[in-house]
Amino acid sequence: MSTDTLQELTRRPYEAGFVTEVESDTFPPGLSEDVIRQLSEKKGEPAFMLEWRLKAFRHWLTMKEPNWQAVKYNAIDYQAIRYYSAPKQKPKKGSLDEVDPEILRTYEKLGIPLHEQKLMQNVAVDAVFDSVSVATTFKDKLRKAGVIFCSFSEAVREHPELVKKYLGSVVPYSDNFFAVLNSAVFSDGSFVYVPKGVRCPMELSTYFRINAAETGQFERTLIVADEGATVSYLEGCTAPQRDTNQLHAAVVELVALDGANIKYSTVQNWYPGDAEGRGGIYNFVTKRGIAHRGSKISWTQVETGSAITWKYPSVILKGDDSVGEFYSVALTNNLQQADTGTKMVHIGKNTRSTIVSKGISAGRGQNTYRGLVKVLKSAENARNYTQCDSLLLGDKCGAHTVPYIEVKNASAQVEHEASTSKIGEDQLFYCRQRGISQEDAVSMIVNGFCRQVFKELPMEFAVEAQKLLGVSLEGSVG
Amino acid sequence: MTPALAHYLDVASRFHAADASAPAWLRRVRSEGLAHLERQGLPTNRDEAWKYTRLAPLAEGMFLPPGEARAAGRSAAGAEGTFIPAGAGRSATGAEGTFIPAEAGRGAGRLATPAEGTFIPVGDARGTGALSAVVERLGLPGPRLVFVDGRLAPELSSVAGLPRGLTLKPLRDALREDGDLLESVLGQRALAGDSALTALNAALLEDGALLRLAPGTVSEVPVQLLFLTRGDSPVLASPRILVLAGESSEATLVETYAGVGAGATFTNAVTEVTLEDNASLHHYKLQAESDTAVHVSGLHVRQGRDSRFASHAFSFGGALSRNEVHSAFAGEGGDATLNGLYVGRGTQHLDNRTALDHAVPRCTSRELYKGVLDDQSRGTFHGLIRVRQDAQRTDSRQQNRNLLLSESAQADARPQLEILADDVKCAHGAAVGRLDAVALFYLRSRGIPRAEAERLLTYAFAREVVDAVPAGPVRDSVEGLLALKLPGAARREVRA
Repeated sequence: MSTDTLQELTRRPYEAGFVTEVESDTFPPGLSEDVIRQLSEKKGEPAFMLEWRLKAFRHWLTMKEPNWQAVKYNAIDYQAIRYYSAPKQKPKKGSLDEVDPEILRTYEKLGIPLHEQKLMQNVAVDAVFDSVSVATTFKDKLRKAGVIFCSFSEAVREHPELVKKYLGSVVPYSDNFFAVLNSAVFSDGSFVYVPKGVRCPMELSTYFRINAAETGQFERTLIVADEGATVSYLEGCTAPQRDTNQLHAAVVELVALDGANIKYSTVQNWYPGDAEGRGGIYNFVTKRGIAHRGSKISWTQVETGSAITWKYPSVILKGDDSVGEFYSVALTNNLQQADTGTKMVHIGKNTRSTIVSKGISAGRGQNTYRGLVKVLKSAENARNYTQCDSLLLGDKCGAHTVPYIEVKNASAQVEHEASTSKIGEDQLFYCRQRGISQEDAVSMIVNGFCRQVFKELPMEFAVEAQKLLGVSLEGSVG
Repeated sequence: MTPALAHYLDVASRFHAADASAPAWLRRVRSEGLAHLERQGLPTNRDEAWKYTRLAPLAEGMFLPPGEARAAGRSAAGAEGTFIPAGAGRSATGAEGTFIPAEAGRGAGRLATPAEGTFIPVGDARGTGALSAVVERLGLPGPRLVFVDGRLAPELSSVAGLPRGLTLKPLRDALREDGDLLESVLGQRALAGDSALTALNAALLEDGALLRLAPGTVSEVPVQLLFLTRGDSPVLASPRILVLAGESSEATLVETYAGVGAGATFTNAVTEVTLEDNASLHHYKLQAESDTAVHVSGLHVRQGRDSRFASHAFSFGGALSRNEVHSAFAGEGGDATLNGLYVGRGTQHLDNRTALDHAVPRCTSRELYKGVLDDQSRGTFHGLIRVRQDAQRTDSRQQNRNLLLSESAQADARPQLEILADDVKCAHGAAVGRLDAVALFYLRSRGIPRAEAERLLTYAFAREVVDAVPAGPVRDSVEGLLALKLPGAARREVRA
């Protein structure tokens, strides 16, 4: 394929890169205990939340930023970030009509209309704009099923007992540098509680949008599936195109009690920066689930955006017979860097985990799979299967695989396989001779490469993911 | 600074001071080693490269270089010494390393019966001193240099029958006689700045071997370097081996490490190999140290155009064993094979680290490391394949498989790929598991008792790595050592 088409197509603009003009209520840059107190007050939080934040902040001050990941970036100045930014509006709405029309238009432009009648059927959306949740749809329908789906701020006010019980139970306030920072300053996010034996009647979804400049987005999601409950949750993310880097440090905690089933899908399309690597989101995310007896947690992610991706959605297989899954497609183009993977910690007996990771590197992108499979002594008959495939499109990019396997129980069966390849000339030739254009052929082959992961996504997202991959990749094969 | 580091810095400074007559370049190599050691400190679990291996025994052992250890060992063990000590630091008596072979008591040279759950040293040379019998047992036909507790034992060595074009020299001689050559090659492959243990080896550099092949030399017989530790003194042996293989030369080098008595010892070996264009080296490392030994080795190779390098590393002994193999391709068309087998029992900790640097296009590498782990032993493997940006058409495959034989055994695997070129074929695989229940059932259904069936399957698993060794004395030697480690297997041994 000619280099020209390649360049032409990689120059394709980031479609979600516009800025919304809304008046916002923003903190000045800087981080201190006062900022945290202000933040907590602004959100009308109970005292326990403030204490928790301060405890985390004090711990954070003693920590060092990690440097083991295979990504390079300019030092982050934590004092130059604004830790709170919210569109100015009347206090939280009862109905969508009261949401700033400018914001509603933003979500419409992004293809996420918040008017329920226009919504994708059967998906409830919580829209997070900078630091706050601006709207949550289908609340009534969910309430009838007993499902709580609301913004995190609302959960802290309305369901403090649940928040108190589960917040930090999977990712403690002292976990890692970025998670600790998040614990101190997180502004909003989604909260889901599915009661015993309930199958959530619709897909739940959060759409994150960073709009304001110089802000960091620190959201926190907590999903609790009580015994025998089932829930499927999706998240999507975009940000405007800016020359500066913005920090996104989120925490997601999943709790699957006995027999519960949580499916968590992500399509991450933060602004990746331009072709020269200017701008883009620094995405440092901690995601972890704890699986109790007979439960299942499944992570599916399609990571196409962000200048830097640093995330390792993990499952602690605590209960006997619990199941953990991780399906991932990570794409890096231009100067994007991704260091992503998973941790599967087998504690219970007969626990099973599956890891399927597909990394695609194009341009000068660097893609690292970093994963840990740990079988503790107690995990009789644990089983893991890991497959990591990398596809290299171009001779300036890189693909790295760094798996860790630690087995302390002889009955465990752990397998890891990895391969690296490029699109074969013969594959392309085969398609071309059947009248398929070069570009379509590449797209077909890449989609085939990712099929195992895409088929795990809920239908609406699978379509979006395929489109995204098409946009980010077209022509980048030379 | 930890007490252990302080101890080794102290020891190295004393060693340095005692050998004031050494040529200036050698003094520089040693003092640079010392400086690097001080800067880096001994590795801890916080170092990513040592994540699974704790060097704590080094702190407890407070090992001493050969000169000091002999003095210490003698004073502690009374008149037991079978050596005439060379004195602390190489004093100018000219009697350095004089070794009086002990009576070669045939009976005492027989192998000890395996004690349950621990690895058995190859023989017990204390008291009666059956070193020459041990040498006979482990020695291969052909030229060899034998080192006892870190120093050359000329009486046990033999360099007769060297083919034309092949030079085999004790390093202590080469340091004096070939200063110009050594100055330019020593420390070129194994950089003291990269590893504290390489730095420690450099700081205590005194003996080892130099193997040189003139261009076009083809040596059929294997050259053997046999390192014995007796365990009656807390010796820190720091052998350095240099291999310079000229264009189109071919050779086989066997490094055998064995413990001859119980007692803590520390071997920190560094081997540097330079293969010129089209050269070929078969390298074997047979490590059967005693189960109280600490064994660390680093093999560093640079491969020229179309060169072929095969490393076969067998780790059977040691309380703690660390086997490192690093190979870098410097010319196109090179081929590397890295094989390894580690068999652990008791509380042994066997660590393997390999790194392949595909820096140029069109090179091929194949890697197979297998672990058999019983009792509370722990095996770890960390294999890195790096494919640099211009290294198109690289073809690399790596496999690590671990067999856990007991509930308490552990295995850690870290296969790692770093790929910066697109037109490559790279794959790795890692697996941990126990014996296949179906295969066991098959054997039992044919009347083979369970224990016997398990032994057979275990042996078959390990055998894959042994089979990669061409038939001959080297393979026989490997099989003999493996049989000690997997009792029962020996009876079924099939000689080629």
